[in-house]
Amino acid sequence: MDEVTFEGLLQYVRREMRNLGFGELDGRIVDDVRAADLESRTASAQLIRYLDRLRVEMTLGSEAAVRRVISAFQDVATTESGDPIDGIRIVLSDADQRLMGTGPSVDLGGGPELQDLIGDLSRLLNDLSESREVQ
Amino acid sequence: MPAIDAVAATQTIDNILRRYRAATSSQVPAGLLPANIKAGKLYEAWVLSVVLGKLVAEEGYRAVLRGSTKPTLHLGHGPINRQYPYFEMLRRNRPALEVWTDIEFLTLSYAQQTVRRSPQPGDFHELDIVVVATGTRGRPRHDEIQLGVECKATHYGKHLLREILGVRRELSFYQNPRTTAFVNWPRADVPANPPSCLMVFCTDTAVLTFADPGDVFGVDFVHEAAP
Repeated sequence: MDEVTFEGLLQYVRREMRNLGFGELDGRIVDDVRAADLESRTASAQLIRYLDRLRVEMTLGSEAAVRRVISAFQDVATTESGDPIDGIRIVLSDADQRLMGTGPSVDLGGGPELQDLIGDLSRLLNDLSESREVQ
Repeated sequence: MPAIDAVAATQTIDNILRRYRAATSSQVPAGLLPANIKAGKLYEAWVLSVVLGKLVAEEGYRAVLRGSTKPTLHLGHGPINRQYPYFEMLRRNRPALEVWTDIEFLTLSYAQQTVRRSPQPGDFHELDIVVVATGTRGRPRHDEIQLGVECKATHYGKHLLREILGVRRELSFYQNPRTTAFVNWPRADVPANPPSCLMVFCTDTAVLTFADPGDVFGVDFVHEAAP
């Protein structure tokens, strides 16, 4: 595919992200793409970087990632009580509790299962990379 | 023949985004905690597990989580507070080091001031993960930090390089290599006095392009993918 086609795909994915209510996430990813080095300024490199960043966001928002981190803790550490590590907790200050509408702490987890999606996105990224014209 | 054409790519993108929307729409949010904050904290937790694993495998420590069965991260930063859980690192069954998250340390420039006064905002900086000697209290002094770690689940750019070089400046003087508290990992010596180790973990491979200034000043840059 040529760079004009990649440019069309880049604009399509951005438009769809915003149409589907991912405008805030799109904004963060665009900041990331813009901050990348000059090589990434071609449309194909920008699209691949955009989708790769989306893959990172999906990964860190997935239940599978939380399970992997808890498992990693269980592999390297024990607890005082002898019970296994069974979660990850975020503690908030009083001010942050008011701002975020939470209690004193939030346990990570309860996110969506996204492994299949992440796998499909990884395959798409590979296909797009292989479809770039040699510059 | 390309691996994918424009029509197939468009259909695949469409399919992925709609499934992503459907999957995330059914979630009950935990208050108004933004997804990017949770993602950043999960990455910090992942890096914490990596750091613990290295200290166990390469330095011979045993890691025990004190005070909970859940490793705890903080949305903000502050002094060491023993009301919260932390990891104790034991060697030959004796406490040797402690690993804390989201801690403010008192700077080298604060220690250099001749007039004693309570710390002002410019007198302490934050680190996502710190390794200190057992029993360290409050905001650790710059010379109490054995290892400091920053975690970035984002693009790594020059502004972050400048930030970490500033932290390096506020931890130590630049000097000929000195022996650290570690034998193998993260490094046996560092061009710094006091000889604290300082590391940056990042999801972005671009972090590795900053290895050269890090080599000079004793900052280790690690590309660590999201879990």
